[in-house]
Amino acid sequence: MNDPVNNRSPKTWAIGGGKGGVGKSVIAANIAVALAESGQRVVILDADLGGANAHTLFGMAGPKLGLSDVFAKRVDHLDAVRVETPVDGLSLISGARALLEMANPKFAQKTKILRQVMALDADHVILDIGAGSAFNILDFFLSAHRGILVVVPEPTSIENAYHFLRAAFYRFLKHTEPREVVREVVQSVSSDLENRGIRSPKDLIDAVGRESSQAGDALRRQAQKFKPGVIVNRVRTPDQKRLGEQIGLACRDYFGTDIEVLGSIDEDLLVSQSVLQRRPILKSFPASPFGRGIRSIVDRLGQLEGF
Amino acid sequence: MGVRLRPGDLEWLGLEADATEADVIVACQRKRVLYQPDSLATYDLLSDEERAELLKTIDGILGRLGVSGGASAADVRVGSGAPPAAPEGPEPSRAERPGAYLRYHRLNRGVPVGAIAADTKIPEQRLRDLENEAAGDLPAPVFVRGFVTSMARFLELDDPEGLAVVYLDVVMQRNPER
Repeated sequence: MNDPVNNRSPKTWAIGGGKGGVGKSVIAANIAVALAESGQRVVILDADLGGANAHTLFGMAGPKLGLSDVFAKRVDHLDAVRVETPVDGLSLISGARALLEMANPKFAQKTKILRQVMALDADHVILDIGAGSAFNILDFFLSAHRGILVVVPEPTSIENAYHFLRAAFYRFLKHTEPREVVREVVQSVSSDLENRGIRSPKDLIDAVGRESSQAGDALRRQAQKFKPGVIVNRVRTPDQKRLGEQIGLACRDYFGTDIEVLGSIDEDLLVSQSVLQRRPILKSFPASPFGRGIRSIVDRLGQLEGF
Repeated sequence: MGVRLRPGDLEWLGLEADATEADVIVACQRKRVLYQPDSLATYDLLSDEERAELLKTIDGILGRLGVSGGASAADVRVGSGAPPAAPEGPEPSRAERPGAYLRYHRLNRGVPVGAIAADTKIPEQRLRDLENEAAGDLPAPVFVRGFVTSMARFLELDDPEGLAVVYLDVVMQRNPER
């Protein structure tokens, strides 16, 4: 959704889940490993303030300095809190020891962090952004080159995923120019949703278009840029394998935009084994179903993004 | 077909103007699976009322094609018939029962044999023989390879050519002709 600032800026991938416990941290860590194994220079940034555990997945003790120190201005730059992991080419910026107040950073701090992320000396930055749909999480998601949502085939995960996507979509549309014109029409249309038969974001955009073709066209152009990736984790049946594709169809009808189905990963008991061993599964069980799923997803990303 | 469908139908299904009847039926089935009440992919996204409306739209399109969404099969020129029942039992092994595997996935997608016949131009009976692994009734391997590949591609299965090789090996018990 955002292009790197210049050729030397890293590609940034924000991995979110809406719901906790879907496996996004393990997926984020192993995508980072797969990229590093292919020769890319990678940073994994654990932005899950309040639940940071990327370091544990690599068998590292909680680093002395982390993201929270940059937020608290004890350290000036992300580079100063970057530590090497046991995986060649992969370094980590930890979110550990973050205090609760860091979970709601001020706008200026957030902007500073995002600017520094774009300037990190790496090919890829994987942002593990945590669960939920609070504004700071949405902003990390939207600031990335591509936001990636992880879901599992359970109603609670699907429910949270749509909640997240809706929140992210509306927040993304807030940037549509010309802002004053668009805001005015959206507000006028939103005051009367039921009578206008508006039940989805797509309906809203269509209704805005009927009031003002300028605002409608602008919103549609902006909406087309919203293209999060989706990964379906913990697949157990052939039907569940197609969940990503189905969510894509639903999003086309509901949001009027396409998502990018990056792939699915089979349920794999070796994941918890590797977590217990505190090694990324791509290192401990590279031929496992999970490992193969991750590699396939990274291949797909490579195809889409040309690396 | 364009005469029977309404102007917005193809667009609603996400199809291009050159879509075949089979494309329309498959797209309708996909949407039905997506919007039926127990669908996981749209959990909590829609109200019961919205679902009912969407399912009505789908039935409307199928009705305009002359395909009924219910149990009774309407007589359709293309011979596509009513959507078949869902498969029973677990997914058959692709490596051991490739024909049953094809049938399972066809039923899983709710596609009548006639829809595949219309799109691939493979006669319906051949497709049934393929699914039933009736080696004695199948033509020469070179044709079987093509049929299996076409059918697997239509059903969007992984590695259609690989499946064809497996099929020749297992069902025809011959080495695939190179």
